[in-house]
Amino acid sequence: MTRDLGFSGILLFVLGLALMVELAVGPANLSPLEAMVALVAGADDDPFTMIVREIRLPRALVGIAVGATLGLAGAALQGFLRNPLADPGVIGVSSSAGLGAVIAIYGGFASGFALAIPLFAMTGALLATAVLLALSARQASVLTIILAGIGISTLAVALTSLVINISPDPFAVSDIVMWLLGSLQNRSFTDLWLAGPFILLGCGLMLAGGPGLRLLTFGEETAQTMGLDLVRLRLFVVLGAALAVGASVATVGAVGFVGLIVPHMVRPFVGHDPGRILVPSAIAGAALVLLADICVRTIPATQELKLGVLTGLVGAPFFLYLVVHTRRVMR
Amino acid sequence: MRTTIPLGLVLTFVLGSHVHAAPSGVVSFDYCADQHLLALAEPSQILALSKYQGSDFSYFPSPRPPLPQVRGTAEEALALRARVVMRAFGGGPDLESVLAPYGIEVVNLAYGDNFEVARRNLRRAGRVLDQAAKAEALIADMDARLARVRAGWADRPLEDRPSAIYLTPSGATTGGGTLVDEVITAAGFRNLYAEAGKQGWFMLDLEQLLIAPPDVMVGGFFDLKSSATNHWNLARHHLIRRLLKEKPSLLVPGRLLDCTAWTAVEAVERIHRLYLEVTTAGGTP
Repeated sequence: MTRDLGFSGILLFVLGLALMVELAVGPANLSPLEAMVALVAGADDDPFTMIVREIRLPRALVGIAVGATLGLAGAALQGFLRNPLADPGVIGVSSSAGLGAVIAIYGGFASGFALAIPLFAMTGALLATAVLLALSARQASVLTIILAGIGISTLAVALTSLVINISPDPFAVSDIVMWLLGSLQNRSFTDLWLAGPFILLGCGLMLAGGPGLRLLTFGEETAQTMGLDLVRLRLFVVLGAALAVGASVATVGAVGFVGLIVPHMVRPFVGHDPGRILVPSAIAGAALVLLADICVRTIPATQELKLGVLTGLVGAPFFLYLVVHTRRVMR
Repeated sequence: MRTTIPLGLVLTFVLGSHVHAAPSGVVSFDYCADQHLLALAEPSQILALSKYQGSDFSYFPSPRPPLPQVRGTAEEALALRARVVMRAFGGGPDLESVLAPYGIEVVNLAYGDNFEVARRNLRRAGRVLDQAAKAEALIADMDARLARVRAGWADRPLEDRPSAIYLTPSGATTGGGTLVDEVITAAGFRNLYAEAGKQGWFMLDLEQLLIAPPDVMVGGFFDLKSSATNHWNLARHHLIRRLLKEKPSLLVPGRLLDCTAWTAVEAVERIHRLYLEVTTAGGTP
């Protein structure tokens, strides 16, 4: 327990450092100290204060919320599905949430009701998770779950492509595609207020499932004899992941592989108890997304790179490594 | 050839019930070609317009009586027995090679970054439609209107002119080397990003905008329902909304700027006129 707290403390320190750098990085040249001064004591009408308070701070806070969500959801899903390859992106939850958001916007629902986007995204994520559970049923193998996830993801991407295909506005196509690549750019406090409650609720549900996930490592039947309410645990994890991931995707688009990588980074330090890795995974997820965002802001390019592109470039090889490793272990 | 003629006949037979064939003429595959056709061609020359005609992107209202509209496929051109297909972006790749065996000419209107390309597009369309005189008249009118606006700024040196940036709802802006940059300059402004050495299209950076705000904001495409209500676009950001309120915001309908066409001169006049109205009401920026 002390080791867990110590590790979480180190992660929080890294997160704090990443936050300071995130607030100091951008086209407006500010040192970390100047950024802190602008944040805490800057005059309201000073452009640098506005940059730090109204552009960089909400961007960083949204990044922390989304990163924590993805890290936590990855850890919870890997524990619940007992599958080291589970991740909201890999099993189709993120792409289904993206489809929900796209439908909300191009169906015209978003124009009259801002909450329509997170609601539709969460519904997409919930449907994807429910279908995945139904398809993988009891005693499903690692491969079955992954294949089911790939099927769901492919269908969601195909339906999103259909919406793009039939869009009457040729300019909207690039908007959708760029948004789906995932980015924290230009996110505001409005985004945080819209998605924040759902993210908090979803994360709370997943954290409440921690003790159940620990029991589940003994197998479903043994865990049930030890008092585990499997239906309740499923509700906590599935609903929690759907709410939090759906709201996150509605805010920043699809940022893949964070939920896959983070639990594997955390396990060597806190062990393999799925209940114990939840909180460190959330903190590490937040730190990872902020560090990735710092990278996309500092890599010299004519356009700012998309966050989802960077996490994909790092995450996909890691996923392949895990596939090879899992195949060897499970042979 | 043995296979192509029966294919054409089959397509005509299959599609004939959906699209009324006309004896000959010109078909447009997108809204850029629509406006060139409607400006230059006699109604009897036009077999069909694109599916976009009548949408927010159309410069001209739909003609009365309405003409058939096509999605922009080779099959439709064959079914209509078109002589010429005019397009800027519609119809997909390889359209020429698909239609060439049937003797259908494909006229590609160029995408360009200045008024000279707009002139070339008009001349090209005029030549194909045998309406060269109309095309030259439109060019002369465009040049006269541009000269009138320029004359309004003639007494003000370039460095004294107000600075401007262009913005679309999705956050795109432009440096030098685009038609919109020419529009802004012709309307009497300095494009801040062109002055900073940037070229072409890119996404607006909020931080740069706050550090160096322009005197005026020139907005395009804010009239489109799909863009204006779009949740994921930059225009919903409160800092942009604030700037659009605080600075003179000169908004131009998207239909004036969505093609490399003479219609951009109307954008020049509109920006110039809106600016004069704003400054007359509230002082010179």
